[in-house]
Amino acid sequence: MRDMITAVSIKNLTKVYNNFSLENLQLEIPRGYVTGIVGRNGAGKTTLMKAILSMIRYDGEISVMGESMQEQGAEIKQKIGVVLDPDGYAGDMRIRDVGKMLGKLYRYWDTDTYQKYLQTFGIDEKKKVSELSKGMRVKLDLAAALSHQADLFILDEPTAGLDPMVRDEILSLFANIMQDETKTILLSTHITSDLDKIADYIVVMEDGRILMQQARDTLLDEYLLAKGGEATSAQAQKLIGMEKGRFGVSGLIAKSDKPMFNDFVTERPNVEEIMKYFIRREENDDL
Amino acid sequence: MHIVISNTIEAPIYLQIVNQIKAAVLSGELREGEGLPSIRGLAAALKISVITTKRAYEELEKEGFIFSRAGKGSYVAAVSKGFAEQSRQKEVLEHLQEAVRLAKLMGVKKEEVQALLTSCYQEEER
Repeated sequence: MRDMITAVSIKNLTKVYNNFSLENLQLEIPRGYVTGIVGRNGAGKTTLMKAILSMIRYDGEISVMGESMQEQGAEIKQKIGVVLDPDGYAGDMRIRDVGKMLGKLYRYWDTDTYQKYLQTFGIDEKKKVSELSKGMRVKLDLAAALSHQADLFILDEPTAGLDPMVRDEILSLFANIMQDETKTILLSTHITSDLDKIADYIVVMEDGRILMQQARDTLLDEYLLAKGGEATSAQAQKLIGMEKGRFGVSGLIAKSDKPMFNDFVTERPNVEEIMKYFIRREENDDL
Repeated sequence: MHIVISNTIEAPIYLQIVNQIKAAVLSGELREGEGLPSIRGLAAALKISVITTKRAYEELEKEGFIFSRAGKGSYVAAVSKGFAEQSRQKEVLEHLQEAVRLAKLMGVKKEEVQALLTSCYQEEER
């Protein structure tokens, strides 16, 4: 990832909770691309995003667009569009008033854009926040995130609870944002099929750690999903995150190892399968 | 021009784009000097990664099918008749080589393969 402008730089991020911690995390998010963080519930995706947005205290250094969040946080946040906590607004607020409030908060707030997105998403401005379904709240947050000329979008599960048609609509929207190479999207999801479509980079998180960060293309092109009846010990060594079932074994293999697996069927994996087998490798190692 | 992407076949997506644009150039559907969609525009239209379309264009440029002007975009390069013919043959040759490899592996004789090829043409012409 050399030669790239960094949108978010995270150095030695540490956050310790009673039963969970992010320890000494390093991460660079390139500008002009979509980076998708995948991982199980509780892997630390939301905690990481909250740290970037200074919503929690932490040790370490985080900078956005080259500026330190610790020093310039309030200013930088003007240019960050956020979808994070679906319960962010008071329930008895009307949608119209949410817009008014955000208009005071964000210097570059654009009421017309906001209203346009509300219309696109089918949200009635006269309704109260508490009257919206979970999916509608996500859309409300998205409308807000898209309406103040943000350069960086930090989106926690932006497509959760949305039906496939709306998800597709929102993915198109993201694809359109990315026509401008100065924009950056960082999104987390456990619905990885979304990432199969638009993410440029994939970060796999598990148990507060980053297992892998790779260009999505490299991942999908360099690994194959291999399935077979039985694995010899030589094959077993090459199977990443090997899973033994009643009728056979499966795992990821590097494409260059394919000749060793002539007795296996191989296919192109998707992001979900890659995530699954890499997490399983961690678990196998822990045994 | 149409570009159709499959997520399930083993061929990388960038290569699928490369092959389809190549085919369009070789068949004359895309003409010399014609503008191609921008890297980010194509990514948005196909809803795929920008890195994928970038790689596809780099590959096409390397092979001489397109050229880029900084800040302007990418255009179809002049492809000579000889080169077009060669490229077309190369594609077919690669598939034939694969067929020969498979035939050897399975013990199918050369004469049988030739007979199969002839009957393939007869099928097509019917």
